[in-house]
Amino acid sequence: MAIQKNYLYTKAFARRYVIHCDFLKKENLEAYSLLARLLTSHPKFIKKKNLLNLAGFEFNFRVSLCQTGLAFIGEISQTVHPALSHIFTDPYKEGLELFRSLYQNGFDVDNHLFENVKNELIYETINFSDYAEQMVLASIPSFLAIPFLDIEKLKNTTIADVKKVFEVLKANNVGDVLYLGPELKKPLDPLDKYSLELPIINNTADLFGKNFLIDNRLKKEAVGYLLKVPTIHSYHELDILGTFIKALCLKFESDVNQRLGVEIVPSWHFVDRDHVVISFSCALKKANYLVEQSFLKLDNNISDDVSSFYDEAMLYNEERRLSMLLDAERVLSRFFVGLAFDLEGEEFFDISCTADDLKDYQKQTFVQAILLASGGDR
Amino acid sequence: MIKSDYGHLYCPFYEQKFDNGLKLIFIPSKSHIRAAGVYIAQGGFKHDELIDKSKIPFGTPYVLERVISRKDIRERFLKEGAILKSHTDFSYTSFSVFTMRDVFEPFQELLKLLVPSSFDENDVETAKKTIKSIPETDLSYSCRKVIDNLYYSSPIKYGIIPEQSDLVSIHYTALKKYLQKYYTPSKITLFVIGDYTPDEVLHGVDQLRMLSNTYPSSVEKKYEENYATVKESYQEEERDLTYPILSLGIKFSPRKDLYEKYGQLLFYIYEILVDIYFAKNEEFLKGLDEFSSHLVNVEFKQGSEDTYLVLQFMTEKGLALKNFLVNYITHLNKKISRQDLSACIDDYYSKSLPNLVVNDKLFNNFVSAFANNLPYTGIITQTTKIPYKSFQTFTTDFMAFPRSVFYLKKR
Repeated sequence: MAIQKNYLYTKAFARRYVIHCDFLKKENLEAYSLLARLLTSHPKFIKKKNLLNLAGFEFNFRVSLCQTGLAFIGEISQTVHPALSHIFTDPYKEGLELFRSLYQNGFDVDNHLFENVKNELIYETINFSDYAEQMVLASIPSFLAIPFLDIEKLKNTTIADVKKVFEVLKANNVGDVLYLGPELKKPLDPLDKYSLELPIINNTADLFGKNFLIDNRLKKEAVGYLLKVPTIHSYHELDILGTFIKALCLKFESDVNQRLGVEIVPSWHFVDRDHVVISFSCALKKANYLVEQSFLKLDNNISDDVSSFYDEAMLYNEERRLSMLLDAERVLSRFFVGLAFDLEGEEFFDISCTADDLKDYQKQTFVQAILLASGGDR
Repeated sequence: MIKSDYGHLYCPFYEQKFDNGLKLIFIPSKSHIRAAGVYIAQGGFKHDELIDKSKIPFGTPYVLERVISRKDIRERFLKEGAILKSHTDFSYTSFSVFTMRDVFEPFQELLKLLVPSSFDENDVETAKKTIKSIPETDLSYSCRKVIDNLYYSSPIKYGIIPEQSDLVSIHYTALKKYLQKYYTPSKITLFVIGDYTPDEVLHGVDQLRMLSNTYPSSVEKKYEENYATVKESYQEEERDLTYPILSLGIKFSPRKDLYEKYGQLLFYIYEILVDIYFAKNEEFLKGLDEFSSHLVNVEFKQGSEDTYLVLQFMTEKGLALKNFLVNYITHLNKKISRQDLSACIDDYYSKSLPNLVVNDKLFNNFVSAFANNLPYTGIITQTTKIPYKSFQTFTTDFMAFPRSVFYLKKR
């Protein structure tokens, strides 16, 4: 295993990935989300063959929040299997050629099909997304969170709007190309067009106090805590942070389940090197109650009771370590964070920390802001 | 050990049968992660009313699986560098361990759990508290309703996971009796996946403390299902919804009848059935587009004699879609050409290869294929050879399977 700026060599999960990230202004989220879906599900045939039918080949486009902007992320990947010849040998040549081809040919839908694809996205956004959580994450410039889509805006998005953002995407030259997979015979050279570093990341977490986001269409509510944490420089510090957040979530879950009888679903994202946002989604009319009863208080240090969950949180590191060898998605998100924050260290697959690490960390962590996504007074 | 090798898949496996009925499957793999697991040929489908005069409530297999892989046990495995996973299907239950270390140590720990003395009443009560009802969405409600309308009395309609009301009557004794009847060598297959030689695996398995066969008496759950018709062919209901959902359920003929006619070919056809008829059929998808409808969920399940397919659509034009679906299925044998079958098989093959290279996928696929006593690599190979004529014969049968539609409308 070796980590370099734009690639990670690993035999784990037996897949080769070329990832194409474009960094764009945070605007027209709905049109970009539709574009990602159309490029994934209705691409025009690329080259002479339909790549979809090639063994073990997959591609996928998605949109993620990336600080104050958005990331349009394309992934092409192929299983590493002796029965398969590689679709790309040099990720920067054939890999990029595939992306170019996908972008040149675009998507293939008429107005009727477009409306259907749009309805599908609306349906999934309403039924499967955690809308309240996304509202929380959208109000802080969080990193790699799923964007919050406005249903009304989505309904009004036309095929022309999508074509317009597609042109912006094609003309964009801020981004990066990454490779993940087994070691290549020739090391990768930097690229001209996509040699720019990720537009990260100064402190942009300028949110303080208690903030309310009210939307009476919400089916669930969410509470978000913006935490000021010690600056991360290395993978080891990233692991301390991850373990500490896990302990904090376990403590929160245990409190609200046992003491208050409320069920929650936690998730967390980076904001920058010094801030993370944790979101707990819960049933309607529970968010305010959670904030009142929680041990997490504005501007205070974190309660010492969290330390009783250190051991359990550290156990999950073993699970994360093993899971990374089975699941490329987990590696990808760690890889993105590592690149974004220019993390040092060779500990990519070795997740570990001690209780002392966590104790020190806790002393330097406090709640900077609270966000409530609530369904109002209905 | 007997080696089976479908060469083009680069995934040979070895099989050994022991005197006590226990089977062992070993799949060599160079992956960093080693896996071992236990497949139990009995799942969540309710078969027994009584075992050794003890009542076996619905949900017992699922609760037992959850008790065995309870939180403190999973944490114990993690401390030793292994992930413990478990799963209950209609036809089988599986437990597996994944580790970067030698797999036989956690494997031994896993086997020690599969005896009644590994848990007590407190563990059962604690595990029961973690079984929360899955929140019902409009989609899952609609699916449950259509399955209920398909079947008169088959236990498949109840699913696998017990409701809170079922949990009340599940206690230690039921779990113990169930375990004694089914967690026995003659119903168990062991799986080992990793960078070992067959001799190393045999030696490793030899060191494992084995379970013993027991033969408690039992009273089978009796039910009579009518496979010629469905309980309710059409039902609609109004609710406050964002989008209406139409669910189509198809009830297959009894498994033994189909197996008698098609043999193992039946299971190869099942591998591509959803894609070729619906999910990737261009004519079908085009038809859906005409009615501005979308296929949002597919559920294809087998349990005991029963097999059902549920297709769920988001649609504002429920009645028109219903007519389209009926018409489409009625003429299905005219809609699949030889080329369509060939293209679908190519696609299936290409999607199957990735399942052979990552050990958790490899384990899961081998285990689920094993429910029909077939090796996964054999299924892939044979699926690529489905004869068009036989496929068309099956399609003709499929067209006649009874159906039910449940339309959840906007109020």
